[in-house]
Amino acid sequence: MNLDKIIKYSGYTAAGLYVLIGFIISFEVISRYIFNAPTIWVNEISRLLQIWATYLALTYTFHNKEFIRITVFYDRSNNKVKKILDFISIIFILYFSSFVTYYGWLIAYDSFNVGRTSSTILDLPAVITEIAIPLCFAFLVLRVILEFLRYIREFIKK
Amino acid sequence: MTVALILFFLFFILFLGVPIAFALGSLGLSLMVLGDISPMMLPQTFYSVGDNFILLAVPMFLMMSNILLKAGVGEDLFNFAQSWVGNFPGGLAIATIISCSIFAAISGSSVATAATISTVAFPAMIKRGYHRNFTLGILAAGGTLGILIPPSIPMIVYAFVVEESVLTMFLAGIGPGIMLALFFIIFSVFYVKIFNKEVQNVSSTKEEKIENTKKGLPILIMAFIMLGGIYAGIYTPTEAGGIGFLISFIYVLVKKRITFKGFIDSGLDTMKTTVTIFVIIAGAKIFGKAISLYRIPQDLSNLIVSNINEQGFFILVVCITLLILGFIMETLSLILIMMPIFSISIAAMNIDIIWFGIIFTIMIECALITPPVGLNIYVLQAIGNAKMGEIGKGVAPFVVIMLFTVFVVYFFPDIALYIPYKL
Repeated sequence: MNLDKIIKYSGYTAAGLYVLIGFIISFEVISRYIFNAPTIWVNEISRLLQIWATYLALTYTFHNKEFIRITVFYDRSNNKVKKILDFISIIFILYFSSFVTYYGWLIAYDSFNVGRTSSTILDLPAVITEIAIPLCFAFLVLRVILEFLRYIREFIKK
Repeated sequence: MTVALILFFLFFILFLGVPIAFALGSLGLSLMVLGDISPMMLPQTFYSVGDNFILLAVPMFLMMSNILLKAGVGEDLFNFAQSWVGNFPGGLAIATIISCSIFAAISGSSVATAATISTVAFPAMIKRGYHRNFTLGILAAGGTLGILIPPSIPMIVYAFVVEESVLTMFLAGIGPGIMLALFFIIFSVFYVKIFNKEVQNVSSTKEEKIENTKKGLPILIMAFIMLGGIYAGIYTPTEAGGIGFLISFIYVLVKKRITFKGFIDSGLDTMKTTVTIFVIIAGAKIFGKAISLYRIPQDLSNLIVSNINEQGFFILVVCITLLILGFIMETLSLILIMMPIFSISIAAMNIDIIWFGIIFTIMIECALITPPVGLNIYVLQAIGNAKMGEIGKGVAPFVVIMLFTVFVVYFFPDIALYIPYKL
């Protein structure tokens, strides 16, 4: 399985998680009003799923160039300038995401060591959600590094 | 001085086309590193944005409108409105605005509203002899009702940023939303009567009226279930989004209106929009925290309060800034970049944050249709195969109407605030 496929499936998984959240939230409302049995897990689980879905989709979004940007200047540039602008974007994304990955890892690792749990009835280990951020950002960093190397190779070739 | 330098640098990298979320985040990060503050806040911010039940309303409302868009309910709504008002002067234009308003009551996105209605209304209006520019303009502008009439994704984000209730924002949007729709209708009738007399009207028989009403009614009922439930306190806005998703899902399934591929696509679209919105929120939060560590919003607020002593003048300055930035930026970035900078000034000027939010929302509606950057423009370019210039000419009068609406809401705050506070 190549990276493109993995990225594609990560996007589909994220989309599927949102659909799942939709179902469990409506389940809560129905359960509460029709069966008079409010749940204790919907709120927390849906937030957990939301964290995973959102950050899992980061790499997919980068891969498909879907991040929102101001394109007024970009759209009016020639291909060479566009390449340079793309390269600048890559450096910014790389710079920022590396920091998020590193510090996110510190937080998750610490929670794991201490055995921290969520302060709710479910008492889930905090690491289950916290690890999503370093993992997903590491995935993004990996994908961005590949893009970075591709640009470098192209510049050298010229 | 620092203020000017930071803002200049921010806009400079934004113009280079760096994705907004990462431009804001990187700048915030650099400010923290320079100020010797631990960047531990970065992952925490991403965590708190994802771990938020209020923001969960965003993907829920998106999913609902994406499913209904893919199922083609635009046609039902438009035919429903057309069979009742089609024989009035400018009937199809009125039908367009009415169907946009109804769809706006179940959708939180202006793009979904514009796309849903335009696919049906554009060919219908052109066929009946409406001017092309006018048709493009009314459809682009009608779509923006999607974010003023609740539910509304920019309002959810606004409420999240200023830490106000989403419900109050939604309720405050109803009055101005209906008023803006009425202004659009009045303008359209006059336009057709004066400049576009050759249009054909559509009259429907009684049977057609009943038939079309049967098709359009479920959408009205959906809007009623969702908004009524929020208003009655049966469920939160997020849960309303979940319920809305469920009933629209059941509706399209029972009516066999959606293919499996259509369903997958609406999930993917929801995912893409949600991710792009959430990373910008996180980036803006990081930027906002960083600049407040440098006391920039506070300094700016002192500067504003010592130079501007009237609310009206302050709002005018904000509106002009938004109007100018709106040409080149889209909605959520406007909220997320401007609000951290201005929020302290707004409090210092003693301005009602909800009322300001409504004015802000109408101003970002303008941003959606002012070329060259405006999401609704892209929708119309795709559907009407139109040039930017044509749409630009078409939307001009509607932008003027929106600015007039801001003016009216400014002088009569009760249009927005009566329903949430006094009803």
